[in-house]
Amino acid sequence: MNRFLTSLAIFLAVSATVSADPLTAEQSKFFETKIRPVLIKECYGCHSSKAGNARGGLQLDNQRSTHVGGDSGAAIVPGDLEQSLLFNAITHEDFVMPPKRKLSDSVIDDFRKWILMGAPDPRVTEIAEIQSTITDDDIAKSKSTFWAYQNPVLPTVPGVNSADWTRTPIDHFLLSELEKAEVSPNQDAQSYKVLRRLCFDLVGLPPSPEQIDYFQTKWSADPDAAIALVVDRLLDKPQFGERWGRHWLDVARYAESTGREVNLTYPHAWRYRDYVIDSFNEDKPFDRFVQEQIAGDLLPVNDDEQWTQNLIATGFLAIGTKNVNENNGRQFAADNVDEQIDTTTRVFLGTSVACARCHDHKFDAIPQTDYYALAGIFGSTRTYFGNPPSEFGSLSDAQTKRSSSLILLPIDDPSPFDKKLSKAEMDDMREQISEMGRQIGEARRNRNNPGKSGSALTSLVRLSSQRAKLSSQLAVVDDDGNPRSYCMGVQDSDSVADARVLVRGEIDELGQVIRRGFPQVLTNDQPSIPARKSGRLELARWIGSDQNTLTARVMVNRVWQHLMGQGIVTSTENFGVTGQSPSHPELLDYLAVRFVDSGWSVKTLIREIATSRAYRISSDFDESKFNFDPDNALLWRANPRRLDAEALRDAMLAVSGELVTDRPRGSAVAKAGYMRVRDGRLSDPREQIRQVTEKMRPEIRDVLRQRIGQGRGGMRPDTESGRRPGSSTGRQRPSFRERMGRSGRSGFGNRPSLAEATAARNSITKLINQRELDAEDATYRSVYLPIVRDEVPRSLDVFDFAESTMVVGTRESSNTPNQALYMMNNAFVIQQSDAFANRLARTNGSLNDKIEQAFVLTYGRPPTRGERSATARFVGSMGRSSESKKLALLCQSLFASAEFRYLD
Amino acid sequence: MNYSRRQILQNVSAGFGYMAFSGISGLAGAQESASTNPLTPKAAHFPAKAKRVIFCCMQGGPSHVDTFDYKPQLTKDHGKSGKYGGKLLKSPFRFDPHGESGLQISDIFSNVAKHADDLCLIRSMQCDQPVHPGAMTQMHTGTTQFVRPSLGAWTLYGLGTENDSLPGFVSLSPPSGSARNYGNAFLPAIYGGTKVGRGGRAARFAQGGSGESVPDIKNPRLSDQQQRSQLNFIQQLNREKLRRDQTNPGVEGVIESYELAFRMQDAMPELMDTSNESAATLAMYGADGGPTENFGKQCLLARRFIEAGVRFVEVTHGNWDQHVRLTDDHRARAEACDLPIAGLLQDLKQRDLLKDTLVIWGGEFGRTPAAQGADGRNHNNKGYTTWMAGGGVKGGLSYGATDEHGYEAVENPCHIHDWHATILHLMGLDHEQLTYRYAGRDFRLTDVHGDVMTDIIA
Amino acid sequence: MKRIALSVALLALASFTVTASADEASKERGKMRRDDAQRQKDGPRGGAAQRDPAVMVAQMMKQFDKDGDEKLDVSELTAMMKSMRDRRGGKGRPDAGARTRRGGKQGGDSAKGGQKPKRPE
Repeated sequence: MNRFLTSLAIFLAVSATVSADPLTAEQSKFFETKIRPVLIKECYGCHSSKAGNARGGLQLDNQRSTHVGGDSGAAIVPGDLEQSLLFNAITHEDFVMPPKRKLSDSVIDDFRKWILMGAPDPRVTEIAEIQSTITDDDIAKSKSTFWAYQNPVLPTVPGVNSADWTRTPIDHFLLSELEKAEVSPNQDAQSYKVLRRLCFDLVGLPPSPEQIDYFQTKWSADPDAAIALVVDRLLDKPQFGERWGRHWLDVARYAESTGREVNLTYPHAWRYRDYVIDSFNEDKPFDRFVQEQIAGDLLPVNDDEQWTQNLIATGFLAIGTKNVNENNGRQFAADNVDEQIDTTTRVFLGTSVACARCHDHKFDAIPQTDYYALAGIFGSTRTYFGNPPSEFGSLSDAQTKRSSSLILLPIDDPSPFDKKLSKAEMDDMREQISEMGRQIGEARRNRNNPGKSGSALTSLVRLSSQRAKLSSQLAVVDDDGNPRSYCMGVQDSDSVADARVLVRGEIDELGQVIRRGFPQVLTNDQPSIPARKSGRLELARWIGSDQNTLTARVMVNRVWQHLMGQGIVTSTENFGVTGQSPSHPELLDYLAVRFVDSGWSVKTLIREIATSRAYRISSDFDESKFNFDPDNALLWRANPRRLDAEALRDAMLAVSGELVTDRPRGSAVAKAGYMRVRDGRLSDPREQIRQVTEKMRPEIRDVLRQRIGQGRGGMRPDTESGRRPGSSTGRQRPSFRERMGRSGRSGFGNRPSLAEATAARNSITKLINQRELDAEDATYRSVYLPIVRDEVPRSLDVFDFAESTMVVGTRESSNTPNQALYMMNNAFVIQQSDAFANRLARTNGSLNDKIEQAFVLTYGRPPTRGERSATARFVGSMGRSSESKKLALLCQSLFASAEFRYLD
Repeated sequence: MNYSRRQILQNVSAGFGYMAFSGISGLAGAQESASTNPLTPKAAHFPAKAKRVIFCCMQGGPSHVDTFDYKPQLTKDHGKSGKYGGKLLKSPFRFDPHGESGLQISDIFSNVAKHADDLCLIRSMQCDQPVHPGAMTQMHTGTTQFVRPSLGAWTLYGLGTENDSLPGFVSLSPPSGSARNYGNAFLPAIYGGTKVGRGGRAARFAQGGSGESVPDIKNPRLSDQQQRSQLNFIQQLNREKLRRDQTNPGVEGVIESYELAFRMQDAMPELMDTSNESAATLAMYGADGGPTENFGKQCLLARRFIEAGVRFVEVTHGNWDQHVRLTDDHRARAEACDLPIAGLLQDLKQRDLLKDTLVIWGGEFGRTPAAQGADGRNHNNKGYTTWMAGGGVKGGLSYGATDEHGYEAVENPCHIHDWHATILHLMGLDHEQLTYRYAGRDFRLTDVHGDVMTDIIA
Repeated sequence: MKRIALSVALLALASFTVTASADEASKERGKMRRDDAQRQKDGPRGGAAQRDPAVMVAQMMKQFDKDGDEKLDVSELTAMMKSMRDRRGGKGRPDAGARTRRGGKQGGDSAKGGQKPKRPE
């Protein structure tokens, strides 16, 4: 009883001093007599800057470094024995320190006491004071002179000589510059080309032959009306949101996995994707769209449905790359904050504030302190991106050091493929987890045992991985085994605080505290943020408004770029000093002010641009105009553009008739669930093979399974694959011979023929070698393809898909032999060509009619005389092939040709 | 010789992007306009040793004071305050003199060090930005912010390539998102680099066979003849379009890429199939297993490519960005590439290829002599080291120098522009003459800068 | 027993005292302005708040002495400990992610099965 009280007393007294710093005399004496000498004698040799050593990245010679820790994490967490890795090491639990020796029990006890008393430590480093070289004057000057920091003002629409050419004010702005340069704009493009542009630009699909005919008729009567009609119809289609949503996903670095060394899936990222698509379809006011993505969790709502959508919107902040392999929790947190600052400021404001993480911005008037003003806001925000913990906690495999959770949706909205678990299954899983826990403990103990350490390590890795998987599956169902609904996103943290400047951006080099706020050069008034709020709501309301000079301009510029081929400011993420100046500054302002006045309506903006005269001019080449203005900054012609990857794939599907326009639920990644992705696969190859071979004749199956089990057949043994729960280990499968001998006849009862066996083995090999994440059999729109970082489907990758680890406002447009090989040999292209040919075969008419139809479907026009004769020659050269084969080759050739993938 | 546009278009399967270079005076190659292919080998401006380049790009910025820039004063002054703040951090590795030249190289590159007498260390490198994207872009294209053709594209533009069945410029497993660094920008598309293999963490090459390393390399249904027939038809459609458009670089690029792709179908699988290499060769590169396997394979492929006539091959190894864990991680990075690079040098020598193959090694910048944290270094663009070997470069030479701690170049500074000028010079190209007219002016890799480091040329 | 109970209480008081001053200090930290050029140590300088320990002990006794015997027995002590711990819980270092050891144990403050979102005001 006495001892209990005493230790209770000590616990009480000392644990309360966690947050206090000045050492009492008693604490100081304890440290100086019991702790410091030990540290000096036993630890500084390898873990101090004076000795020039920091093994494992760990320095133990000052308080800050001790708390920050090294590669494995914090050495000392005041009050917490379990998390204090130093204690773990000196008790030889996971680590062994000092190496090969153990400190005496009394010394270990001293450390125990010390940690529990809050690890008081007088070895405190001085706080540095960061002085910026960017003065208030610099900021004021930039604010008053730099073009992008002046409020957009509605300019007067300039007069032009050829006013009858113009259709909208946009044309006036463009024509006035052209006239100054004495360059005349091109003639209008042919009507079918204009229609192709409209269809691809607005909905990402080609026009049908019927639509082309209809449009041409209307155009010949009144081109303006024809265009206006088509624009309105296209803006109303749900395919509009899929097209323009995808542009936004480029910029939001949308992906369904963490990326980096340890690539874990984001099975709920698709909800954000659908949110974006829906937002564009309902023409959500853009300022609202911005606010929802930055602070949807904090915006007032009318009902749970709205709340749900707003939460999903904050996925914008959560879907960036994550280095889950990062040992140091503080570093991880700082990197995520950095990622969020970088993305938010470049996507919405065209400003690279993240450059100021380590030093003042080298070019823009953004001192380092401005970065940390934002860091306080995002640092007070908690990001949810992983898998929730189960009742066993957050179990992860050996390489996943950082874990997270997910936000429960206020409404119930599980997917059909979300697994429901029966009670029996759950109990079984729990048993297995416990058993594995025991085995892990044993493996840990054996790790230091010379004879057993090798196999102990492999077991440890395998068991951790299996246990993590089971736990992650248990975590996402409720007590009855029903799947719950989640989204990725953010919430305000329980502990809200301003951030300190970090000298050179290093987490253990602290500078002064910076009040949460916004970059000074971008705003006149700093926000007043309540003490217990992160400030994200204020940030969202400021960015998603015309309270800053940039948001409207940046978005208007993006829309312009997607319709006209290049932005008025070609550096779409950089409106700073090192970015490009606008080619038509008044036009940019005009569009920005109109955008705001229209209620931030993207569709209205698109309509205005698409109905302009400038949009419909031809892309014809003109040597003298080109020599004068090769970049086409004046827009004397329409920019010829190559279709992007999605449009190309969707066009092939549309033309072949295979396109399924319904939105698929979730994504392939959602179906696979939370897991680690490797080699383009979402599942264990062994598992797939098992499923495929189930359908085969038993004899073949046995032979194949045996061969694969022995590592033949081209398979790499996967050491990390576990068995499914419930399957027994160590079951011996009888050999083929044995089986045959025993059962005699079974089924057909004969030995598989060579042909059968070969065919079976080929299909297995194909399965092994196929990249599942290429989704070659999918026929839905490309925006719904699985986007796993570093494992993007080939059909997208080959045609310059946006790199999903970055903010991409402008995609590349390359021309490579890889593209050529794809069009010539890829299974998807061949499949679609076959389907296209079938579609043609089903129509009535002669072969020539079919050929003509093929051209109209792919190019939007009938073949020229030259093309007709070339086709005839080609078809003729195929001699005795069937008509369907000839057609298929013709169809593929059309797909492969340049005209199919270019918009002029 | 003048062909009318019409004539050329009627007769050739390629576009006329190559016409641009024919403005370069004194180029015998321009007279070969009967040649149809813009990748046809062209004569250099002047005779030169290097016919091809293998560029080993060390992504992330390896620390020069820990690899090739021996700084004994840094060791002596360890722990003192550095002149730009922070505390000086001595190298955890040992430097020793190597070869007859006595070049001091750190022990993490002990295999490469065996070839010290072939190496030319450039210890006074400089570039404009200490950030990864800017510096990587500048290392490859000469500019930090604009979109310009890469070094490989320029060499291809200047010299063509020796094997028209292969891309002239190959980037093996480049880091993702870096397409610009092997891109062609405004040069004709055919001069752009071709990516082979998937980059970053996915970088691996199938055991032996070509399999998945070159996706879509074979048509599952058509014979070569049938496919050629199909391709002829496709190209006819393309050429008609080009005729109608008069000028369309995009369509030209499509036309050229199809021709190249068709030929690649036969050439690539053979090239990627390393099963005919001897076990001794594989071991020399470290390509037979262990941590050196991946990069070893790449170096081996690089040799096979240049042997087959590819003009410019880039292999990338990373990540050297050790802000923390410098000791362990730099050692690990070096371990993975030291033997492969040494093997490459050895193999080239044995095959008598090193004399006209320029091997380049380097990262986008170096690192600070002052510590970051306990065991890390920050970026340093003011002074760092790259090296070259073969291709007419003096061996066993240490060129240029940084200050006593390794902060910045103080002797014979070599800016990226100078580096580029020298590389082009070694290949027989005058960097001031290798221009391309675009947007009304003549562009070149070195913009308006660059001096050739004549001292390193043998 | 009473003496021990009292000394426990005193010790606990002392801890309250120091905690209180730490709270004040952190508020002060939060209010620091960007242009404050003073060098500061990481934490509050000396000067703990002055409170009479005897008064505090009396207050604690009143609150937790359920059976009114002017002593805190084991269960009452436990209750007091718990309430102190709960008061302290949640403050301290802002930690962006649950800190898990290798092999993983119960993650920091992550709720099992997912995070219930806070309803916006």
